[in-house]
Amino acid sequence: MKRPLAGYGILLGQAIRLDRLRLPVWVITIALLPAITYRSYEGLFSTPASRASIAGTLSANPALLLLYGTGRSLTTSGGFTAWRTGVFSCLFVAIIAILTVVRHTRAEEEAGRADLLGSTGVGRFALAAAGVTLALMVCVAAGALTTAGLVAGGAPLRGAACFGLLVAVTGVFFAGVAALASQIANFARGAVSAALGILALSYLVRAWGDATGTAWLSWLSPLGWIEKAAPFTTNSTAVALLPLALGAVLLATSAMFLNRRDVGSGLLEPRPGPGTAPRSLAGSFGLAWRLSATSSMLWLVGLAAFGAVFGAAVPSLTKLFATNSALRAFLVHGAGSLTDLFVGEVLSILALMAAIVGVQIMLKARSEEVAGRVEILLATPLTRARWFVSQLVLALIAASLAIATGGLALGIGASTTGATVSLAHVLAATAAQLPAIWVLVTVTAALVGTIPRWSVVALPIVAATFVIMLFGSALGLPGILLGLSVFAHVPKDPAQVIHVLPLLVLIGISVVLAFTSLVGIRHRDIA
Amino acid sequence: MSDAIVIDDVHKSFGSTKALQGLSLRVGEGSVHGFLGPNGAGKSTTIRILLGLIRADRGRVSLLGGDPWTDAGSLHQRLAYVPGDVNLWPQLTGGEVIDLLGRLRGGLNPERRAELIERFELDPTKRGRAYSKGNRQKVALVAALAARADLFIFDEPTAGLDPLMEETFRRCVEERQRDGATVLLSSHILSEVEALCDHVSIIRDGVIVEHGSMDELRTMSRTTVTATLQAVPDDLASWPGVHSVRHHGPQVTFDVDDTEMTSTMTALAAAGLLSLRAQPPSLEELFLQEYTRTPGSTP
Repeated sequence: MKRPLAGYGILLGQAIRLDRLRLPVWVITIALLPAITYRSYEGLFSTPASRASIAGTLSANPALLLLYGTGRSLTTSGGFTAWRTGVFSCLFVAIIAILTVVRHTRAEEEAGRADLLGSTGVGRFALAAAGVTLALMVCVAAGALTTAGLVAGGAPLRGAACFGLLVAVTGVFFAGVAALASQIANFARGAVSAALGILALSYLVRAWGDATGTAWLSWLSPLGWIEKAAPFTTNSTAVALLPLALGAVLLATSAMFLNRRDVGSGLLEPRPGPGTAPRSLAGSFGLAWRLSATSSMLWLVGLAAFGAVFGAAVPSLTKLFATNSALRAFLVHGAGSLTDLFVGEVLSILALMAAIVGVQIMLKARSEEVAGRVEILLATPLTRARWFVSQLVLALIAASLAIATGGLALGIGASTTGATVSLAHVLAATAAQLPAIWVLVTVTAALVGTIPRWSVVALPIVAATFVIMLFGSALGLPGILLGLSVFAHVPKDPAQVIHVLPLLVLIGISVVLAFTSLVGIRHRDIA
Repeated sequence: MSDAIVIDDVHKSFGSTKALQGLSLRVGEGSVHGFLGPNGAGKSTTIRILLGLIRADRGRVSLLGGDPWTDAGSLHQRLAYVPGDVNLWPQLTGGEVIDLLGRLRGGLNPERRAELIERFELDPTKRGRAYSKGNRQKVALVAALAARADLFIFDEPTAGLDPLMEETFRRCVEERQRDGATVLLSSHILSEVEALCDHVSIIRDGVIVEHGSMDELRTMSRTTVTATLQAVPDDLASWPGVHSVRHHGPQVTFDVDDTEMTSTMTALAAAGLLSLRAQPPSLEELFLQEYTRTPGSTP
């Protein structure tokens, strides 16, 4: 029998070479986020008074609290940075760990390259070990660079090291999750979905735990551990042992599965499908729906869960903030109550998620084209305009359904737990988000239709909208920049009066963009 | 006989790459037309223009009497296409893809579908991501051949198929032709072209360098002659039209241009001909000549 790790070094070298551009970009991004936050906090808020004020403003913003978790020592640069970027650094390192592991293990097998390697005397564990090693290297690099970046930015070494350590070990844990998923699932797509699903669940559990103040719940979430370690406050580095131990168990389990199965197979064998098409798979719309149905449904469930969780958290949060009268005076302005304000923040996030649903479906038109699957469709009597419109209509419907589902869950969650907000008002505010979402979807359509090479900027546009919406006012951005976010033109909370004119303008812009995309697709070459 | 495909002086560039540089091609109705050329010569670009996926920069293109760019929808009711590199949807089964493409063409005959699936020994219950290259090709072939089309366009359709399936494909194409369909077949498999096609066009660097009926093409080349002579003439190598002379004792083998056949035979007879064997050029040699010929020279 050949050595189980034979060829490991060569495969690892090859994997590093393949990812030599991709991974550094991720690692540097992950490391820069806390360092920049630390520097800008130091620079922007140099006096204790200004620190107290910004800490109050930001930590009192209910949506931000749920997004980032419970803050500690927010008047220090370190505490502020840990709160503001901790969970997101962990989230990013988890995503890259998952993608790296699957890319170099299950995806390689799926592409048939594992067979080729197996025939050259490479050991049974070499490929998987190389992929996992690369992911672990990324985690360690991300942690080390995060620490280095923070120290370079002027942070105390102990806190920076604790922060970096937790980022690294959270990555290690998710590398273990991905390694196990790669052994169980038969295809890379399934493995990535399963691992990302666990990541999403971790995020929701942490949010719920923080919102309701249920400490054991946030202990259950791998994304909650950095909070427990409290970098720059208590620096409880011992927490890192938990993800390390669990990660090791997961990796050992995946090695056991790998030892027992055939190359190319998984624990979940794919079952044969139907030999004939269902009646629904008849035209371009049926096909578009079929291709996006599963992910759309998952998004809908996700939005419903998000809306319901945050809706149900409204009363307890409102109570929390109501006890602080200074905060209350600061937050409540205009017609809105604290509850309205909070519901509005959650609604904005739901609207953004709904926009992502639509944008992704619209981008599918481009990815299908690049994959060469559109050619065979357009060789039938199906016209390119009809094909494109099907995709656009589905994107608009899915995005609209997504915000409706999320808004409904939010309204029901809030009203059934006794929050003082009317379901009708929540639904009206939800409906008012639609035109803004449509603009983001039709912008994507226009890119795909007219300048397809530029369709890669569609998701960054959504991300920029997100940043402006959430942090714009806190960062003191000029009004003209704030106005660039489509969500600046729709009501922010259920208590606001809905102005019809801006909504009509947004609808008009959507129509023009949709028309432009159609003209574009009818006149350009299909890849 | 009218033409199913007319391409007249078509140019197409992608950025600075000139894919087609004045290509002209005619495919008569009811004929099986072989479309050959080295990789990157412009075969797929030509086919994509015919399908209306891309637009020619200039020149005239007519497909079944219509404009493939503006009338794609209605023209495609009479057309079926198999790409060279078949990409299927990972989550759809082969049977679902066949039905989907059939329904987009306005429905397909279930018996015909079943018959083709059986003839190509296709398992229609597998998902797209689980099929091998050859099986993906079969899915596209069944979908196209099940269609009631006047024009079939195949872009290297048998690249991933085993010899038995190649044979099945040939028989299916012959049946379509008997029904009166026109076929444009881009292929690298010369035996396939030789067996199926009545006309051939050879493309190189974006222009047609040779075209004609199979018979015409054969006569345009050299015949290999092996003769046993009482005395081999010393100046044989310098006879007009005679090339690459090889001696084996009294036997001599050489290639002769078809235009000089009569004079060569007369001279050979004068030299005391004992036996003679003449071999027509194989298509293989013919195509290799065309593929490697430098532009502008004559064969």
